[in-house]
Amino acid sequence: MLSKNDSKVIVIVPIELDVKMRNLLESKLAILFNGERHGIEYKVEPDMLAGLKVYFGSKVIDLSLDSYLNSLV
Amino acid sequence: MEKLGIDPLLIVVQIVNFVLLLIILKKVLYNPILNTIKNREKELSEIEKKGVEFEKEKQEFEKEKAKLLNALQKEKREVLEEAKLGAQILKKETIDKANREAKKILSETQKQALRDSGNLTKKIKEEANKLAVELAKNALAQILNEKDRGKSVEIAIKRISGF
Repeated sequence: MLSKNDSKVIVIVPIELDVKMRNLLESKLAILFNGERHGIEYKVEPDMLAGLKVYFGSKVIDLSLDSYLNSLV
Repeated sequence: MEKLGIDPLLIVVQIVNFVLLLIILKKVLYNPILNTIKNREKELSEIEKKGVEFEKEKQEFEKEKAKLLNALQKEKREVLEEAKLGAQILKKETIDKANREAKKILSETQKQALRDSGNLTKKIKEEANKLAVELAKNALAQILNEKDRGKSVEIAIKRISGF
């Protein structure tokens, strides 16, 4: 479970997200923050292959294909 | 007697004359010669005695010499044997030490070779993995379009609730 200290959330994605996907993401993150919504900053990295990364404080949820491939090395 | 031409007085005189001659000869010639002969015999006897003693001393000296030579040869043999034994021990120790050093060097070299081989294999694997990942990334970058990327983000969003 995430804490209030992890208020600033940065999401890194390979493409611009539409409203539907943003809402879906925010609702999922809100569940993790006990229903509280946090300010989310989106960063688009075109070199990223697929998936996403979520940074909050010193923690990270890494669901990117790039990280998976890098972990194979 | 006179008829025969024999003069008794002359005979007596001749006898006295002969006796005197004998006495004088004995005094003047016979005794000194005898003394000289006796002295010579005595000297010869002493020389002979000294010769025997000298021969005896010579034999004793020869015996001592032989004894000393034997002792020296025995000592020489012992010293040689000792030196030979010492040299053999030293030789064996040197060979053993060289063998140990050679084994140690060989063992270390083999270990180093194994380490190098292991490191090389590991490095090659890492490089191969890196290359494969790079190839996969490049291939995926060409294959994945915007729609696929969006789909991948959507799947990832759905998985977030699992954290």
